[in-house]
Amino acid sequence: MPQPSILIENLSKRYLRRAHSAQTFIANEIIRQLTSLGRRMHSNTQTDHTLNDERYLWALRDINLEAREGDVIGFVGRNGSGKSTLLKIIARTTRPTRGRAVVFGRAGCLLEAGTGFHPELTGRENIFLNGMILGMTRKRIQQYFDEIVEFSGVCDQLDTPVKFFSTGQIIRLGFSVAAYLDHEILLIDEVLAVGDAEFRRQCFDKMAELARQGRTILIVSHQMEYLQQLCNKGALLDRGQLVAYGDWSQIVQKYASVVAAQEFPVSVS
Amino acid sequence: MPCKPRLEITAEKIELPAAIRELWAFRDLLICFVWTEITTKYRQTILGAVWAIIQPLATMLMLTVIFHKFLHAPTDGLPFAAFSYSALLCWQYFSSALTKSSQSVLTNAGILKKIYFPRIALPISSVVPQLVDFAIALTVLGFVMCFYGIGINSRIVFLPFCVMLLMLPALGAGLWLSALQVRFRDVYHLLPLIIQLWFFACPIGYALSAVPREYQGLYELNPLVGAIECFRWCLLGTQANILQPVVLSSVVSLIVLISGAIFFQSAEGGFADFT
Repeated sequence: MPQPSILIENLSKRYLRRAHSAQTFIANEIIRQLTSLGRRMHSNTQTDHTLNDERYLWALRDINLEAREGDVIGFVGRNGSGKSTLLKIIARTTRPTRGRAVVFGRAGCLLEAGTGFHPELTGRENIFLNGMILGMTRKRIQQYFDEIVEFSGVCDQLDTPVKFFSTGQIIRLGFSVAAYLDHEILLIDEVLAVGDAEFRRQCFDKMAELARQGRTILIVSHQMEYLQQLCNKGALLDRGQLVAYGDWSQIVQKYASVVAAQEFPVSVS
Repeated sequence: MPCKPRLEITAEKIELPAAIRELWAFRDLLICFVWTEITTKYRQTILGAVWAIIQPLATMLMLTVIFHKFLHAPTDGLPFAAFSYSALLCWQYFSSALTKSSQSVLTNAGILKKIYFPRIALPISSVVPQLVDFAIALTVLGFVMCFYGIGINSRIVFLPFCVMLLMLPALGAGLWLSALQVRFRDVYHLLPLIIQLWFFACPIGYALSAVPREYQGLYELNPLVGAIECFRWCLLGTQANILQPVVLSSVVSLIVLISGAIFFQSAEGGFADFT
């Protein structure tokens, strides 16, 4: 049995629907401090008054999930079901409101096109900047530099500032850097459907290769045909709750039935 | 099986000592942020790094007309050009470091929302690049001193300490303002006003001795007063007693810095949700 790689326990995330004004913010802080004081004094109150509060949005509610080494998990669900939020919490860009996630090993992200690029820097400089932002060491980037450049196919523009690159070239360069991450866990949020057909193929092969290396990969996507080929497990989310988690084949069927159920009441306005 | 790092993610905030340890692990990134800012600052300009000299020089000329010619402000016996330019160097560094670090979190919202790194790296890395401009402008001070026949003395060994007296309050205030700005965009509108008022609260166009004696203690709570006085003392060889302003400014700077770092850490968990 492979070792666990991510353990998620009773994880919830609450968002504010809109930023508070300064007065309500300060008032809330005072209330929060007082209630936490009160909770410490008699700590048996588990109910949360914000659960049905209109001002808050619970993006995730009591998620429990375990991923093991080598799992390639496809996260599916409608827009706003909490897939990306879950990945963001594992990536540590946002904190959960309650519960916890335990991550064994380092988690790295594949980013949307162009994130973390500096327009004034050249392609070469951006490979280093982006690699370090993603959590690679300078040494590792140097070691794989030629491979990254070759994979991206922008060798001839290496010393041109990135602001003169086409969108496609930026996407290529970004994915190429991320493809050489050495993290045990990779988080991929809807970055597969980019670039031209040839590059998509290249990306897909790279992803399959990463999956074969025994890493844990979490993918959020609406591209079912991609997930179909990459994933061995699936997770279905709906309105912040984990509806189903298990073998990919089961999840596909469940997702199909959810989509079918949703499509019926949708009205065309 | 090789031992893997185990990381627990909860709603708990990351305490300051843990954040500093983590920052060390991310030092490559910190250096990279600094390097990016230095190398891109003057790209696509004609004058390039000459801008680092033009700004304090132009302000010096303006101050010469207003404070020296019109108002006859006291300068403790120094030529006005050397007197004001030396302080303007410090001011130039401080104000640009403060502006950059205050805005560092919001300007980097794009990466902040996608990637984890210790957020405190942003304000810290944005007070360093301005040191390059400071060094360039410092060479011009050398020429000004030559022109007026002011020689360099052994006090110059305290120069790094002066620089530290400038960096600490810039970072301290930057930590406070950058974290506040995420929640309250008022800071964005307030910052130019703060900087403008702060300029007049510094002995740049006038000497510390021009401040009425009974207000001097209060005046010296401004950490830049000690920094500027110390800078003049070590480069221009002023005779003023700088011990009191330097001690006061060190203490105030450290208080602002430490409280700023604690506040920043308590707020950083929500950065990605509010940018």
